[in-house]
Amino acid sequence: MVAEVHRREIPGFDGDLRLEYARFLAKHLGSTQPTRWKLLLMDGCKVHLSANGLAILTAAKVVALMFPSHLSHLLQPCDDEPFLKVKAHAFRSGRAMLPTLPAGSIFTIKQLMIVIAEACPYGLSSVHIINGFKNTGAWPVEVSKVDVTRLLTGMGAGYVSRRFDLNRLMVHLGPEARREMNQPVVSFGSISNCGRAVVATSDGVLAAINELDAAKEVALKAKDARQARTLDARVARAAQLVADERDADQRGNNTSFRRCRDALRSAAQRQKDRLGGTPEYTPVPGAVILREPVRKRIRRA
Amino acid sequence: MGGRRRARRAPGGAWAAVATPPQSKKGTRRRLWGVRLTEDMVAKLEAAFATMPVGKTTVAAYLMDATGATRSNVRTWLRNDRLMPRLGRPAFLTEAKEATIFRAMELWTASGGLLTREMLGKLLRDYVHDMGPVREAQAKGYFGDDIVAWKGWFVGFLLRRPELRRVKAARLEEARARAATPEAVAKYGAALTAVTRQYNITSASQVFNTDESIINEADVLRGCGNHAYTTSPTRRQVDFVTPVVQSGADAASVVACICADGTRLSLFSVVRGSGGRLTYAQ
Repeated sequence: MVAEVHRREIPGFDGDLRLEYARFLAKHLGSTQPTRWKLLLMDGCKVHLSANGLAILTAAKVVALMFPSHLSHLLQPCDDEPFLKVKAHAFRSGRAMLPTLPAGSIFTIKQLMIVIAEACPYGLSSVHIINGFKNTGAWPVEVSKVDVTRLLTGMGAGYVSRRFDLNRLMVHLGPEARREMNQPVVSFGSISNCGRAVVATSDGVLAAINELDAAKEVALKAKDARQARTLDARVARAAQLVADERDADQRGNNTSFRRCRDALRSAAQRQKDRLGGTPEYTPVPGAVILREPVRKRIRRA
Repeated sequence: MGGRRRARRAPGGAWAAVATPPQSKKGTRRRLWGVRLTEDMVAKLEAAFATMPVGKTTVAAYLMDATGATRSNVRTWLRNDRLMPRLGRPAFLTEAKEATIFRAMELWTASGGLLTREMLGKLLRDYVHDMGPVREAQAKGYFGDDIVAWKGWFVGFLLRRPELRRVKAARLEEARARAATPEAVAKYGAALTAVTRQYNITSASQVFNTDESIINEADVLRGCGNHAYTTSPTRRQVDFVTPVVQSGADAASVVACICADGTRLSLFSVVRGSGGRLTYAQ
């Protein structure tokens, strides 16, 4: 099996790896049919929205369409049969491998990769891939393939008895969908695909991503400046404290200051000697000692 | 064979039945769950049980040899305290009455209620209360004083009503359940159609999908755990086996890019770790 393997502390995508993957996609998809446009369906994960990555894809004549959010379990062809079968076969490969391992040994990443290498060709076979596209209505385009009953769960009692025709609804909502797919809505600092499909490589979306990136850049710079200011203030405060301590030491060791202090101490000692050992707390006639009233503790029966 | 058989039950979830339009001949093809033992067989079993030596541990095997009954029959008979369970429709519930209960179930599901086994029992109980004191007394004699239908009755009822089928509750995140509206799917379909027209995408070889899936060691080993093997002839069932130890949270994510014509790009994997030589990479 030919595979490109990258290592990261968390085994998932980040911005740099996504860029790498975009290059990988552009290299392979661009070479298949260089003169024709290709459609790439993908979920709306935040990390996929990299301006550079999408620009690379556009250059390779790839148009990326993002699924509406939280609907990949119904619409994503990969999630239908291909990955399901990959995971099922991974268990089978694992079971076949277990008797060959000595008891108590560690199941390492190497063995996991062997399991994956055996499972992927099976799960990602032609039949499973074509079925994945068919079952989700991605190709041939037929949305009525989506299981309607799964669209009515969790929507309350009223929805369960609702009757509708997806094809007619598609025609009815067509103009709205066409308008929305190129007009991004920014929500919580990202492109929102809530209840709508978005063409990620469209000019509008790319412009919005660039704006968001610029805003992020500005915010990052402001944060860096703020942190630098805070750091400077801390350093200055620490230096001031050191200087104050040094000054205090110098003052304590000053000859004139010490002479003055010794004079005051000796005067106080002379005064004590003259009074002849007065106790610290001398009772004064007529004085009343006031104490704070103590609350009575209520005993429970 | 005879006796009450365990119903085929969806694992992990409560029962829920859904009324569906009758399918052609589906109901008639269903196999009925078991039949009563014949009187002769019951008498043989009783006689063999009475003459069984004291302290016999292999009771089922002994009864099988003595009567010629199958292991399944013998075990069912023993499990039911040497009584044959009641099978089929109770006499006081005619077909018309069961049809009325079924209509009440249809109404309940049409109003958006989930028809669980408990609700099915409640509908039966309510109906029995409305049938009058005589029928209610008969029902109490059959189901018990609190008229709680037992599992076998549900199984029989579902067999007599092929329109009902059991569905299994599946786990679904709340956000996904809320987002899965017909409007969102219809909009996606419209956008997909529009894009294919706009960019002249006419062939399956022009449509791709990419996604990533994390496969971790813990999941693989958990999936393998149901199958343990032993070479010991005396212990055919192994309770717990730890052949290997998983090392922390080792995982790898597989990134696939598949094409609608059935082909795919070579795999792209991201593996946990940093630096070092990839011993498994070629």
